[in-house]
Amino acid sequence: MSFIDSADRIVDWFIPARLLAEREMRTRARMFLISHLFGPILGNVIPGYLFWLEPHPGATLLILALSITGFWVFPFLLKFTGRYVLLSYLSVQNLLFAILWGCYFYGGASSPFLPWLVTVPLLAFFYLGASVRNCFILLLQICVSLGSFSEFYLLGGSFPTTIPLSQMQGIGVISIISASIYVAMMALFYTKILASQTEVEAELNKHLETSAQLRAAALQAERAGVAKAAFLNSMSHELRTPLNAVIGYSEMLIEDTDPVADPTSLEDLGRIRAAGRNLLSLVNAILDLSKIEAGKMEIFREPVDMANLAAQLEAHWNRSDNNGGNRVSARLVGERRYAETDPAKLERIVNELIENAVRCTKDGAIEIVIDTSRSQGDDGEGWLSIDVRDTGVGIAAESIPKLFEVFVNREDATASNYGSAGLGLPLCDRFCRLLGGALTVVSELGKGSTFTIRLPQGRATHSEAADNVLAEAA
Amino acid sequence: MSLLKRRRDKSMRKILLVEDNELNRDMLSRRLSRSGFCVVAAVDGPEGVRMARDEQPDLILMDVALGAMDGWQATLIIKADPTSASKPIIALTAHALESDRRRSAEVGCADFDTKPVDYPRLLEKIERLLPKAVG
Repeated sequence: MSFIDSADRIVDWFIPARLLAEREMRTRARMFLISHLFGPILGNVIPGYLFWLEPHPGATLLILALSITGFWVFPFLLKFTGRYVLLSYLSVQNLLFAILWGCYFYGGASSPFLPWLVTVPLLAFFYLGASVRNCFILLLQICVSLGSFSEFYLLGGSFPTTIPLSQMQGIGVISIISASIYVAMMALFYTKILASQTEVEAELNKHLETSAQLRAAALQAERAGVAKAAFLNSMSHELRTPLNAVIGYSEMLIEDTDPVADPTSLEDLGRIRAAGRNLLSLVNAILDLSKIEAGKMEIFREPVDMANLAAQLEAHWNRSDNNGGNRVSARLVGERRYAETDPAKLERIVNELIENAVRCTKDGAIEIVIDTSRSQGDDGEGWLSIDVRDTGVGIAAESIPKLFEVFVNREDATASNYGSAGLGLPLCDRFCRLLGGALTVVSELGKGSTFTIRLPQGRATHSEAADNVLAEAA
Repeated sequence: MSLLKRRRDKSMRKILLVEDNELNRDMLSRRLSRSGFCVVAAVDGPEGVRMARDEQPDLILMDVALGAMDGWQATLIIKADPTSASKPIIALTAHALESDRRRSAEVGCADFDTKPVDYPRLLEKIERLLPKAVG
């Protein structure tokens, strides 16, 4: 194959770029050139043998040799004119001429060169393809050539006997052999081309297969994503059910336990309940994070009463036995009482932040400031900002960037002493972004932290809220 | 704690708890009993529908994840039956989802809360919905 490959390189030098660019034309042009570069070597064996038989030949043999050698001009003509089709017809015509000239002068109808005629259609189809037009032109060429051959025979009455037939038995064998070699060479080259096409096809099939595999993998990944979401969903349900029991029964026992008579049990039960609640909030956070990640978290915006939210937060957290002995205060600053946002998510965020503040603060103060007055733009839209300030241990500056990352262990001892924040802060961060806002934090070690929720507050006013209620009712 | 138990001396108000999980049913019904309610419990949707009619509770706590007939369906049936339509229903859902809240309002629930229940908060909701003067 390497011989043929290097032959390809020589051959390609003659082929105009226009033909090289197209695969089918490139193949045909290569066949054309292989045939024209190597054919005359085989073909000239015959005039050479005839010259040996007849050491003083006339013009007859010279014309035959010139006609065969003339094939070598074709590659150069192709290179410099680029007229591939025309040259192909001319080449076929030249071949017909050389064969019939040889036959006419050396043996007539019984000439040993006659078998070369079979190479004519073979080569013609190789060069130009077997289109109807080509078949017709080829047939015409053969008919005209054979017609002229017969015409000469009829006019002369007999074939000239340049060399007696009996002397040409050797040339017969040589002629057949060189014709066979020639056809074999062309066939070999054709096979090689077919093989390379098969290779191309195999390559193509391989790529198709790869892309099919990629599609399958993508589908599988998508299914795995759906399966993961379904798994998390059902798992969190399965986890929540026993947690209900753990938290519920421990609360019942706490209600039953006399704090004076059995303070130890009360403490232990408190720990069970606290652990249960932690686990529960973790389960909820995992579920929510996976939903946000999967883009399945829905947002329902409606006007939310901020004064009411402040009052509720204050009442709930001051009454809660889970506030770490902190004084919790909440107030609304700003004229606007209503903000348009998702109430469930907003409550969730604020409660998570208060819970986080409670974790880091013992017997201190937690202050929640809801501000609806900031950055009122021309379009009437403003920003709702809610600060959650604590007087707790604070957060080291280097830990702040990691606060909102999922499952990062904070290394500073202060934070871990006060329990892991778990997924609460990352979840708050994602929720804020989901609502079109952001969560930021400012903190100083030993003095406390301030988390700030900033959300677009929409255009909601009280009257609009009423309108919405009416619209929903209608 | 005194707040949770002070109801005992008042006339017994009946709560129907529809909950398929045994532990949750046991826990919640016991806590409600201690808070001074008469508690009847149903283990699935159809039983809940029947008991809402037969027991004539003052209020219904409806778990929404109930198996074949879920809490929403049961609520719709109860609300369609004139003998039980007036009973306030509090839906108990697993997630604090806005879609759950909307759904509970759609099917006619008076309120909704999440599980595991924040018991003091649930009590507040129950108190708010129960008829003030009974007996």
